[in-house]
Amino acid sequence: MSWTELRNVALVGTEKRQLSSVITSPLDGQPSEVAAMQHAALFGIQRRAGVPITRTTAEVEAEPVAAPAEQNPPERASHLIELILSGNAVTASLQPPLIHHWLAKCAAADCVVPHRLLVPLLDAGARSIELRSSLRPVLGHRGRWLAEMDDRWAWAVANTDSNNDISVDEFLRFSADAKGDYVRSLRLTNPAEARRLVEGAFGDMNAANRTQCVAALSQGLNDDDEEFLESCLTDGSKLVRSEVRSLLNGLPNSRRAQRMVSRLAPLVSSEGRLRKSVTVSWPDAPSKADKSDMTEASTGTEASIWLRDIVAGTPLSWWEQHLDASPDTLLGRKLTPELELITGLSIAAVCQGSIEWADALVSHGHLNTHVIDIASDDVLVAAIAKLPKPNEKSGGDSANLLLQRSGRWSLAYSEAMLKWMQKADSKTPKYLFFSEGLADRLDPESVNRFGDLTEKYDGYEREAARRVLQALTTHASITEAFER
Amino acid sequence: MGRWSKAQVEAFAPDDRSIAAAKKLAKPGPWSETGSTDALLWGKCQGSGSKPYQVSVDLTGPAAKCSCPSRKFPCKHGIALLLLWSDGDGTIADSASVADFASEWAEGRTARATKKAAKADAPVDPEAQAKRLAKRLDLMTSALDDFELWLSDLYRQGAGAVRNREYAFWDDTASRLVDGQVPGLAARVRQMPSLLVGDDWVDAFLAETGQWYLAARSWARRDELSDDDAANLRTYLGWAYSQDDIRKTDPYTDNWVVEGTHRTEEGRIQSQRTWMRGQATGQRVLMLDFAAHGDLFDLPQITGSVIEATLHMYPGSDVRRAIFGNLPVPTNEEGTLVEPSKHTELSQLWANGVAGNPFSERVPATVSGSLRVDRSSGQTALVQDDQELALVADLDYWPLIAAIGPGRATLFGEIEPKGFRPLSVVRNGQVLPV
Repeated sequence: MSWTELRNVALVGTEKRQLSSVITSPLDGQPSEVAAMQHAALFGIQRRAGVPITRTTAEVEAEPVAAPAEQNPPERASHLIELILSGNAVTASLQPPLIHHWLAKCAAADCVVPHRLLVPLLDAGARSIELRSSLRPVLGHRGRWLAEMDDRWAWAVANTDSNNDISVDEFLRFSADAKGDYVRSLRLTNPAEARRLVEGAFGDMNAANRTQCVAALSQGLNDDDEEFLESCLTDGSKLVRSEVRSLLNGLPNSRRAQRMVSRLAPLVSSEGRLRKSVTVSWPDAPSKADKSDMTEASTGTEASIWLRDIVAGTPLSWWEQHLDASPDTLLGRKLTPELELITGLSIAAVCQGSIEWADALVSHGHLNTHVIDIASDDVLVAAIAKLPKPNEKSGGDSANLLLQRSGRWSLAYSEAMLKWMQKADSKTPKYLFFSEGLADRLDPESVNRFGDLTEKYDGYEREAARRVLQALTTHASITEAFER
Repeated sequence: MGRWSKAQVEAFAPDDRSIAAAKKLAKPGPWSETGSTDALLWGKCQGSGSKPYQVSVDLTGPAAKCSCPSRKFPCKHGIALLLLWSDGDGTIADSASVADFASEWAEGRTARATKKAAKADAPVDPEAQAKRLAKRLDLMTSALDDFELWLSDLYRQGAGAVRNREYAFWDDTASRLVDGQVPGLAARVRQMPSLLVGDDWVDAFLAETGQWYLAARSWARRDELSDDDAANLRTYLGWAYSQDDIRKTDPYTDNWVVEGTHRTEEGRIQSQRTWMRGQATGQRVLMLDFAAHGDLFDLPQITGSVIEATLHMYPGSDVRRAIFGNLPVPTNEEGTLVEPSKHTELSQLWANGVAGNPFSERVPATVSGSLRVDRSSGQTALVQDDQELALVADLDYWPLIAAIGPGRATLFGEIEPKGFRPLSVVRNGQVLPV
C-alpha cells in the first residue's frame, strides 16, 4: 500500500476502485472508504512529520558582512514617514514634498533610512525623480546594497564619484529619467565630466533624451559649457534648441551674448535730461544666421520676439555700463517698447541669476512669472501689499502669479500671500486663488493664519484646505521629531 | 484625582493621527457645556454636523464615549477634551453637577460592571453546569458522527467528483458543523476549495481530509486520550476555553521576550500571533489576539521588547497558548533570541512538533543563514553551510531582503510544512520585526 495507490483510489473514489489491502485482507467487513480514510490520516501525519524542512544545496553561503555603524532617525520621525508613505497622513499628491522634507531632515541629522522603510522609499524615488537627490545621501550601506539588486533602483547607486566614471555606453543604457538624473548629480561633483558624457552620448540619443540631458546641464552651468551649447544651437530638435538658448542666456561671456550685444547696441538710445527715457528701435528682420539665436515661437510678431530675445540674451552688466545707470535708475526711466524690454530684462535677470535686477523690476511694478522666483522676500512682500484686492476678475491671475514662486516660501512671503487672500470679498470664488500646491509652499509656521482663512471655505475648498492644513502640520511635526 | 499630564493623555490615544487631530480641537472655541469631577469629564464639541457631539470620559477606567461616528476609541474629541482639561487653565472647571448625557453613560457603565461582577461572583450550579456540558458533548458527537458519514461519502465518490463542486457544497457541511458547535473544523471545511488547486491538489485533499478523519475518530475515543492530546483536539475542533477558567490556572510570572509577531486580516477581522519566551524559564508561549478591522490589538507589536507579566496557559502540548493575568509592564531591557538551531536540526524540530501535536501547523524556531533570492521565480531561502531553508512563498521578498541584508543573519520565525516564515531579525544586537 503506497501513497500513490491511495491517491489513485481517492481520485476516482472507492466505488470505482478499491485499495489493494482491502482486496487482499478485508478489515472485518469495513467498507473500503473507511480503510482509505484511515490510510489518509496515517500517511498524512507521516508525510507532514517527515517533510524535509531543509535540503542540500550547491549554493555557497555568503561571507559574513560587518554592518557599519549608522544612526537611525528618532522613532517618532520614522513613524511619521511610515504614515506618509502609507497614505494615512496626507493624500498622494501631497506626499512628495513631505517625503523630501523628511529626507532632508534625516540627512541633516546624520541619520540613514531605517531598513524597514528602504523599499517604500526606493519605490517612491523610482516614481519621482525629484526625490532621488535627497534620498541618495540617506540610503546608508544597506540601502545602496539593496538598490544594486534591482534595475528600478539603479539611479540610487549610479556612481557620481569622479573616480568611478561610467562609460558612454553604460550611460546610454540608463533609462531616460535616469540619464537626466545622473547628469544632474554628476554636475555637483564633476561638471566637466558630466558635460563630456552628454557630449559623447549626444549623437546616439533621441530628441527627448537630448533635451533632458541639456536641461540637466543647468546644474552648475559655467563658461566651459559654452562650446558644447553653441554647437547645439543647430540641433535638429526644436526642444533642444530652445533649452540651449535658455542656458546660453545665463552665460554673459558667451559668443551668443556678444552677438546679442552687437545687435542691441546700435538700437539703444537714451534721451531727455530731466525725464530720461530709453528707446530701443526695432531690429531688422533676423537673417538666416540670426535665426539660430531666436526663439521659434508661434505667437507674436517676429520683430517683437526677436527684440525680446536680443534683450534676454544680452548681459545685464552691458545696460549698466552702456547707460551708466543702476538697474533701479534705469527701470525708473520710460522704456520703449516697454513690453519687449521688460520681458527680455526679466528673462535675463532669471537666467543670469541677478537678484538686484529682479528686485528692481518688482519695485517698479513689473511683478511677473520670471522674476517672482528670484526677487527678494521684502521686495515681494511690499509688491503683494500693493496688489488690488482679489476679485472675481483678477483674483485667479494674481494668485497664479504669486504661486509661481518655487520652493518653500519664507514666513514673510507666506503671511503676505495669505493676508492678500484674506481680502477677497464674498463674491470671489475661492477656487480662483486656492491651490493644494500651498501645502508645498507655505511656511508651516503660517498654519494658524491659513487656518483662519479656511474657516470661510466650504464644499470642495474646505476639504482641500483641510488637506493642506494636515500637510503643513505634518511638515512641522517632522521638523520637531528630528530636532527634539 | 489630579489632572493628567499631556503624556498621559497621549498614551491614552489610539495613534499619532488621533493626537494630531485632537490638538486642533483642543481649544475652547468648539466646546460648550464642559465640566469635570474626580471621576468624570464631559463636554459638547461642535463638529461638522448640526448637533454638537456629546463627549464623556471616565477618568478612572479610563474609558471614553462620544456620539460622533468615529470607530476609534477614544476618538479625537475624547482626546481633545482630555488635552483641554489637562491644561488646567480654567477652560474646564471642576463641577458639582454632572451633565445628563455624561451621568447617563457613567450609570450605564456602572450597572453593566456590577452585573458582570455579580455574574462572576454567583455560585456555580454544578448540576446545571454538568447538564450544559453533557448537552454540548451530545451536540458535538452527533455533528462529528454525521460529518464522518459525509466524509465517507466523499471518499466513495472520489476527489475528482467533488473538486469542482460549488462553494455551497462545502459551506453547507461547514454550517452543520457550526450548528454542532465544532467551528474550528467548520472553518477548515470552508477553506477546502482553496486547497483543490495546483498540481498536487489530490495530495492536499488526502492530507486535509485525513486530518479531519483523525479528528472525528479521536473525538469518538476522547476518553482514551491524554490530557494534552485531548486539549490539542479540542483546540483543532474549535471548542474555546473560557478565559475566566484559564485565569484560574497556575500563574507563570516572568520577564517575557517578544520574539516575533505575525498579523493577518480576513474580512473584517484581524488576527495576530505573538511568540514570547520567558527569560527565567526559557518557556515559549503563543498569544493570540483578535481585533475588528482598523482597531488596535490589546498587545501591540513590540517585537524585541521585554515585558514583565503573569501569564496563564491553555491546556495542550508543546508551545502553549497563553493569556495575560495582569496588565503587562514593559521593561527597559532589550530582548535577545536564543542560540539558533542548525539547519540540519530543523527537520527533526518540525517532526517533534507534529509528533507532539498532529494538528500543529507551525513550530517556532530561531535560525541563521544568509538570504538567497531567485528573482526569476521569487523563491527565497536561507542558506547555511550546504543546507537551504526555503521561505514561505507568500512573502514580499524585497522588505525581507532589506531587513536581513547581506551575510549571515539570525532570525526568529515559524516553521511551516511549506517553509520558514521569518518574523524578526537580529541587527546590531537588537531584535527587530521583519
